[in-house]
Amino acid sequence: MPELDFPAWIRITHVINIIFISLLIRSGIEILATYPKLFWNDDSKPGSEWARFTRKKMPKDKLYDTLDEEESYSSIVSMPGHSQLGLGRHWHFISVIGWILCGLVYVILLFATGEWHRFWPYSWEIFPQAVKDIITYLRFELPPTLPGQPYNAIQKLTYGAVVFILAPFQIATGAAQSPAIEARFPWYVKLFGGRQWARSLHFLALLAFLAFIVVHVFMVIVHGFGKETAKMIFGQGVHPITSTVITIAFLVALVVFHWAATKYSLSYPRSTQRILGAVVQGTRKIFLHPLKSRQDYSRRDITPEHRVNGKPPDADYYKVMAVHNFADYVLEVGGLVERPMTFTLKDLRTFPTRQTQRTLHNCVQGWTSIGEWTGVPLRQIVELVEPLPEARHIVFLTMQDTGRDDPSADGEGQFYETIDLDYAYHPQCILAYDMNGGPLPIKHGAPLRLRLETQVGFKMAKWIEHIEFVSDYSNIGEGMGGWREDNVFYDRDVGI
Amino acid sequence: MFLGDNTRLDETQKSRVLDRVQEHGFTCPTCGSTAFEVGDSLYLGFLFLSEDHDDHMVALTCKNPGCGSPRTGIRLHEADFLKEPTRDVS
Repeated sequence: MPELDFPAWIRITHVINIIFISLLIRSGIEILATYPKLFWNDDSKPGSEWARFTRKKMPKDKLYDTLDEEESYSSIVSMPGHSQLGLGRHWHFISVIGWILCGLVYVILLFATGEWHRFWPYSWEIFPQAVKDIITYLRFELPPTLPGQPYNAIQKLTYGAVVFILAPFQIATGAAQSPAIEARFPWYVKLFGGRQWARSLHFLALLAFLAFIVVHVFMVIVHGFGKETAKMIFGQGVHPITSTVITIAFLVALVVFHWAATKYSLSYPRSTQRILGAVVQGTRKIFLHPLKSRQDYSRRDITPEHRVNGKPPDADYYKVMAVHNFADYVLEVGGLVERPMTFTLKDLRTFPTRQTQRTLHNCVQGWTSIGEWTGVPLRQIVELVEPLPEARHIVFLTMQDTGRDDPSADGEGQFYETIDLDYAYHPQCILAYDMNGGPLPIKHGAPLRLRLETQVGFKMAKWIEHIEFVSDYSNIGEGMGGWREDNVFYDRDVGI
Repeated sequence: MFLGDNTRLDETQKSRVLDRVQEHGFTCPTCGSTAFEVGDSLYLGFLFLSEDHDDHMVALTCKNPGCGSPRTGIRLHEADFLKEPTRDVS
């Protein structure tokens, strides 16, 4: 076994890891705040949560949606805080990318240099030895390191578990919350017991990380703060005073960085969205955009009471249309197409192809429900209207006026969303008019909504009245590709 | 025919709706006609923020064959058409 020490690459990746882990924890809490309840069932049935971090009570006599359940946490614990889910997601995902890259470099070098021996338990004897080490600590004494190694038995086992079990588990449960991955590989999310199991386990792993960090820092203090931090600065336990000063300076700089990043995010949300989004979006385009949904949940999996996000158009013309079973409803399809067309609901219901799919709905807030959706494949509409060569995106304009209909949403104006044209050709991309065997309910988007199963829920526009093909969406609204992208700084292509 | 969130009304309830239409002096917003056929009702109180708890929209179809937009509706309270009128015993 080579002599194990603390080479420069271990020290550098350790520092980078601290930065990313701290960002991940705060931005993760921001994401949790948007739906501060945890479940062991994919129905996210109200009242069945095993943990809740909110005291809000919902009305029973009025439709409420999950936006009403959102919490606003302080910036001290969440990044950036103040119910900024969109910005929290940008910070979380860019940190995920950085953390995984840093972890890959660390693991590759660990094996390339032979430093992996520091974590490998060569003998079963290490387990009783680890118990003895714990007892020694409880006697306020320090256990000896293993012969020729930098750690004692409990340290070796703990660090090994964090590097090779906890960190990969956190990445795996995070990936299991991606609608694109769930849609393409439904078996994968079932490995964890379902999407809400993955979310709950992701949270429990966060607690495990927090517990590790607290104990780790405490042990650094117990073993001698200056000497131990020196190993991570100079590679050996020398110059304890200097290393203490450098460590404190680093921690102060880390706090200042968090404060500045939070302040900047809250003061300049659009540029934060653009800068972080550019990196995150590029990664998504490569890994998630190509994935196509292959879901087929069984009838018994259908959620009895599918959760709701967004409130219906509170306008008389809509209510009159609804009470007449949408007989006057007309869907207009136009823009950059050869043949602009209109369709009544009857036209859509009598289309030659009628597609039904049972799928897992992922809300951007974190809750899920399973529903059966029936409608017209969007590709058939596209083939009928024949987009011009310059058409690149599809805009879905809805009857929802967000300021009027949904006070919990932070913004005003007509709700719209855009998707890339190629999504229309995805096998489970439909314009749905039925749900769970009956007409699409008003609260779920009647008479017509989009189902694009590889994306989170807000992209699947409800109460659609107009579809437009465009070459560019930068001149629509604030130019970010959708109402939520414009108003609450969400990301546009949301495969996770 | 699709029903979705709507409720089908019986003949007694439809008759009460026509009484209320007459009482309110409701006319077709398009052609001004006062003759209507009554359709389904939609409970508004739960679904829509601006509505009172017992508000309903009742479908009315203008009987004037020349009406350009015959489908309209009237907003009524539950007691106006869904229930038997309560008798005052005082």
